[in-house]
Amino acid sequence: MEESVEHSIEVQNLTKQFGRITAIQDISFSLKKGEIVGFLGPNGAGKSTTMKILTGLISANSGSAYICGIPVASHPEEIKRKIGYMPENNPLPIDMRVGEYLRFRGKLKEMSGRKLRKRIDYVLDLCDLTRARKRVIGGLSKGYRQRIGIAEAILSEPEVIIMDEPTIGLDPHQILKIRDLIGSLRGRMSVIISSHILPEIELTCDRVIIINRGYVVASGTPDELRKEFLPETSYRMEISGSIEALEPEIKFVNPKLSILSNESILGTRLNRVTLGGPSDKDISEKLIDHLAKHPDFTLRSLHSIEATLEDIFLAATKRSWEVLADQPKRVTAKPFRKDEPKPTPAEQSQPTD
Amino acid sequence: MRHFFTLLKHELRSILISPATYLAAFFFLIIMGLIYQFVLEGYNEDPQEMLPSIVFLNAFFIPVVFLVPLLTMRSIAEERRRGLMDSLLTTPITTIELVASKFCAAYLLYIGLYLLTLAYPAITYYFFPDDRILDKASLIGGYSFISISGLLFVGIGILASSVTRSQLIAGIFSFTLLFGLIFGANSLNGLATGYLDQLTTLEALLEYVQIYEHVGDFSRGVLDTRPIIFYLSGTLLTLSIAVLAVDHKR
Repeated sequence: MEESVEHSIEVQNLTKQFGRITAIQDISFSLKKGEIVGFLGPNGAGKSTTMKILTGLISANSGSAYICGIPVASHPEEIKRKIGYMPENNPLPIDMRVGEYLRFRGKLKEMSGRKLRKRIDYVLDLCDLTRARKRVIGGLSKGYRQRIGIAEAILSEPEVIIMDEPTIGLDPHQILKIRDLIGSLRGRMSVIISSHILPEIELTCDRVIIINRGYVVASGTPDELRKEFLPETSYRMEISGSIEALEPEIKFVNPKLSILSNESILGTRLNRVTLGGPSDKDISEKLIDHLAKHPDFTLRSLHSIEATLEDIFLAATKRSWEVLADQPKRVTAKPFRKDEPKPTPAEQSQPTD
Repeated sequence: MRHFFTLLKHELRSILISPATYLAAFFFLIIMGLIYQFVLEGYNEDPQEMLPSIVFLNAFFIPVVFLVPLLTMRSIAEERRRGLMDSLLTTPITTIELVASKFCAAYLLYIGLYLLTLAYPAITYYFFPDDRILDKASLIGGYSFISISGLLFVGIGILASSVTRSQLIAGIFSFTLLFGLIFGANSLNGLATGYLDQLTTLEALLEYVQIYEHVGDFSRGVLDTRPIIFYLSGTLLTLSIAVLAVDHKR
C-alpha cells in the first residue's frame, strides 16, 4: 500500500470480459501524482472500458485498480470524491444553462455556496465560457460543449482527472486552448486522457500508454517509445555532387548512416537524399560540418525527420498484432478490421517482445 | 441523503421548465373535466347512491393507466439512453438517492395534477351551492386514496423506466403492470370464486389487492391500515427493484 499512495492511479492486472469478448486483458500501469498521461489505442482497444473501471462505473472481472491508494471496487463512494470524469461523447443535459449545470454538478460533488461560486467563475474563465454562462446547453456548438465537459471535470479540483477523448470535434484554435488548459493542471492534478489526435497527446502528455486489443503494448515518454519502436531517425538533405562519392563520406561521419533514397530535383543540379541513422543522438551538425568542408559537395539544406507519435503508434500496434497472431483463439475471435492495417511479412520478421 | 434534495430540486426544475408538463396538465384536465361532466350528467338523469366526487374518483384507473406511464417512462430510461446516468453516477451520489429523487419528482407531479381536479367540485359548488358537492369527508378520503395508491402506481412506473433504455418499452411495460394490477386482480378474483375451497390463500391474496375495494373504503372514510401497508410495501418493493436495476445495468 505504501507504494500505491505515491501513485494517483494504479492498475494491476485488470481484466474485463463482456460475455465472450475480452475487452481488456491483464492491464497494468500507474500514474504518479501530477502527471499527465495519454492513453492511446485504436477503436475498440479497451480505452473507455479501462476508464470506466477507474471511475467505478463498471467492475472488472479480475485485477485491481486504486485511485490515490484507495481500491476502486471496495470504496466506490470515496474514489468518486477524488475524480473528475469526462465521459466519451460528453453527454450533457440540453435544457440547462451552462452556469446552472455547473452549479448542479458542483453541489453533487459536495461543494458549498461561496467556494462553489468562486470555483465556477474560475473554471468558466479558464475554459473561455464566461460569455456562454447564461446560454442553454442545447443551443451551443460542439466546441462549447466539450469545454463545458472539461470545466465540469476540473470543477471540484479533484486529485485525478479522467478524460475520454476531450479534444474530439474541436477546431485547431480551441485545441490549442485545451492543450494549454490541460498543461496548466500539470503538477496539481493527475490527468489521464484518451485521444485519437496524436500530436495533441505528444505535446500535452508526460507519458504515453498505448493499448491494443486489450493489452498494453507500449508505455513510456514519446522519446523512449521512439527509441524502442523506431530506432532510426531519418535526415533529408538537398545536396549537389556525386551520390556514389557521398556514401563513404557519410559513413565517415557515422558508420550507421545509410542512404535510403535519392532523387534529383528537376531543373537543378541538386539531389534530394534521405538518410537513415541511429535515433539516440543527433548527428546533423557533424554532417553539415563535414560536408561543408568537402570540395565536391554543396549542401543546400539538411533537416532531421523525427518519428511522430503517429509512427510510434502504428509501429506499436502492428507489433502487438504479431504477438496476438501467436494466439490463434483471440485472432479468430476478433478478425482484422478493414480500417486497421494488417502486418506485412516484413514486419512480422521483426523481433517481438 | 445529502444529495437527495439537490437531485430532487434538479428534477422538479426540469419538470417545471418543460413545456411538455403544461401540455400534459392541459390534456389531463380536459379528460378529467369530461369525466366529471359525465358524472354530473348521470345525476341529472337518475338519483345516485354516491356523491359525485366519489363517483369521479372511482374513475381513477383512467388517469392511472394512461398518465402514470407517460409521466414516468422518461425518467430513468431517457437519462440512461443519453448517457447522463453514467456521468451522474461518477459523482458521490448513491443509486438510492437517484431513484428516490426521480420517484419523488414524478409523484409530486402526479399529485399536483390530481389536486388541480379539485377545481371541478369547487366550480360546480360556485354555480350550485349544495353541500354534498363539496363534502369534505369524502373528498379527504378519496384524495387520501389517490395520494397513497399513487405511491405504488408511480413506483411501478419508475420500475418500468429503470429496466430499459427505451421510453416506448418503459411506457408499455408500466401500462401493462398497472393494467394487470388494477383489472387483472379483479378478474382473477372473479375466476377464483368457483374454487373457493381449494384456493383460500390465493383468494385472500386476491381480496387483499382489490384496488376497487380500497377506493370505496377510503371514500367512505374507512382508513384501513391493510391497504395502506399494501401500497407502502409495494412502493418500497418496486423502488428497491428499480435501484437494483439501475445498479446492474450500468
